[in-house]
Amino acid sequence: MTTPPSIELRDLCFAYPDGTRALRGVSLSVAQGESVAIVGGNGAGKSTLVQHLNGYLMATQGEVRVGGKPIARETVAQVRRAVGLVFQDPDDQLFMASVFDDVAFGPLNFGLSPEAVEKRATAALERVGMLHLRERPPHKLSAGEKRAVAIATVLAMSPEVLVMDEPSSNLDPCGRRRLIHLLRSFDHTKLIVSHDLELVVELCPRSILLDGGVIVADGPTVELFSNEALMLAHGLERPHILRHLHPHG
Amino acid sequence: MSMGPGNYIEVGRMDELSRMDSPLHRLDARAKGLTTLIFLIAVMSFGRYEVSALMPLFVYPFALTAWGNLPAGFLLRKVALAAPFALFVGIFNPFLDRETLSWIGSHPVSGGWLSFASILLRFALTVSAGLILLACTGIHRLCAGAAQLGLPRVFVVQLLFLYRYFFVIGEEGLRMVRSVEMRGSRSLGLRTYGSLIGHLLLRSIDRAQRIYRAMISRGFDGEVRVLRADAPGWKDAAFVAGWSAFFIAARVCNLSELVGNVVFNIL
Repeated sequence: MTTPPSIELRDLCFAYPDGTRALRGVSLSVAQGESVAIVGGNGAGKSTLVQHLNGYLMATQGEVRVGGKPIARETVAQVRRAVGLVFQDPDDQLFMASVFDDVAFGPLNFGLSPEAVEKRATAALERVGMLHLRERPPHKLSAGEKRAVAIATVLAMSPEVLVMDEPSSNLDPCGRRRLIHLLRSFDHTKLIVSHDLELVVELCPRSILLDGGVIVADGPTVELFSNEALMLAHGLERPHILRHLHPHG
Repeated sequence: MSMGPGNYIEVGRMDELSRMDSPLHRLDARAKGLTTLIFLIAVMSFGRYEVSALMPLFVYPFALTAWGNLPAGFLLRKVALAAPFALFVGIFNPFLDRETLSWIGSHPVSGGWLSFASILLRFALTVSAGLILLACTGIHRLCAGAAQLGLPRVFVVQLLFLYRYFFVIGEEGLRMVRSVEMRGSRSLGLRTYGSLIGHLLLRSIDRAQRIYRAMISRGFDGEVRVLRADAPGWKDAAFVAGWSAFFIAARVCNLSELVGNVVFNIL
């Protein structure tokens, strides 16, 4: 038996109540353990797409499958356990009084025993190297620490898929480098939405270019990003790192 | 690091206080909640001109502040912050009710001044008791306790979100104030204010939605769960019984007068 793809979108369409059609027939498939980037200019539909992956938005038309199961009202709780979403602004994601309480929030909601919750939260904080901050209030952390804790809140739920919205925003170069090392060490299926194309080159072998709610290109990151005409036509540019690697590409 | 806005409203200080450890903090959330409720009922049930009989009740907030190692200055500032509401409620009483009801030495005191003083005292008592309850328990434990006591889930969740979004709106508001100040504008017209408040509402709704999204992404289903559930013991029962007895005694007889008479007789 072949394993079903981690994420599968079939002809996904979505229109906001005001009539804006944000997604117009998006189909894609992400295999288990794969790292895929979703890139595109502002308003391309990236955030709308991400919100479909854990059932926050429901498709107007088409289907979203996670681990082979379609997202529906009955499966949404299960899907939210399987798909860990890391928000663009960690301040939106951290809402409890202490770092530990925040990381424990997910496992606690899944009805685990206090001992199991404690174990999971400790392990998740250790994984991102933030265990020493466990008693600190989240709003007093630095941007890098907040980001790491936000990732821990998601890891504590033991998700199969990690979805990250602009993971490197607001990070200083060292914090960004640490994040890249951390993300590289995860063997989850990863879907990264980012404008930080250099980060994408380092982390995702495959990229999907979105514009106007449709997929414009889907292929190997280096190949895609080296296509200057394509990038410029969709509000992006060829990242510097590729200029050094493939000066004439 | 949160700068600016955080310094104004001391975001999260209440949460920090609630995570301290003291005998008061360790008490069951339900015991503290129930005692506070009885205290509020006792305070509110006094007659409108009552002033001296309210005084002994100040023992409660002072004793709890000391017992819970809570910063008195911080709590007083918070009470003062809300004081204008009480002032507005009672400010017209001295003008409307001029009948002399009492004398301080040879100086007549009208019913209006007495009821105004009574409103202020009651305000200080109730607000400080509420703040202390929050500071020594934390909103999450408090909500979990309220749910255990049988408060419908919809109210518990409302309470939780009210608290969470209060800070959200505060932060957004202060961010806007800062941006207005940075553009050198000190006095604003009514139109600008209107537009600012409209924006504040929209931004707060957006932010609140994102936070809610983060909560449901992590399995929030309307039930408030806490890691370390409270297990009530004899200390909690003694806390409720002891303080309730004191509140009832203070309500039934005027303890200030009683103490005054005793001291007077001794002298």
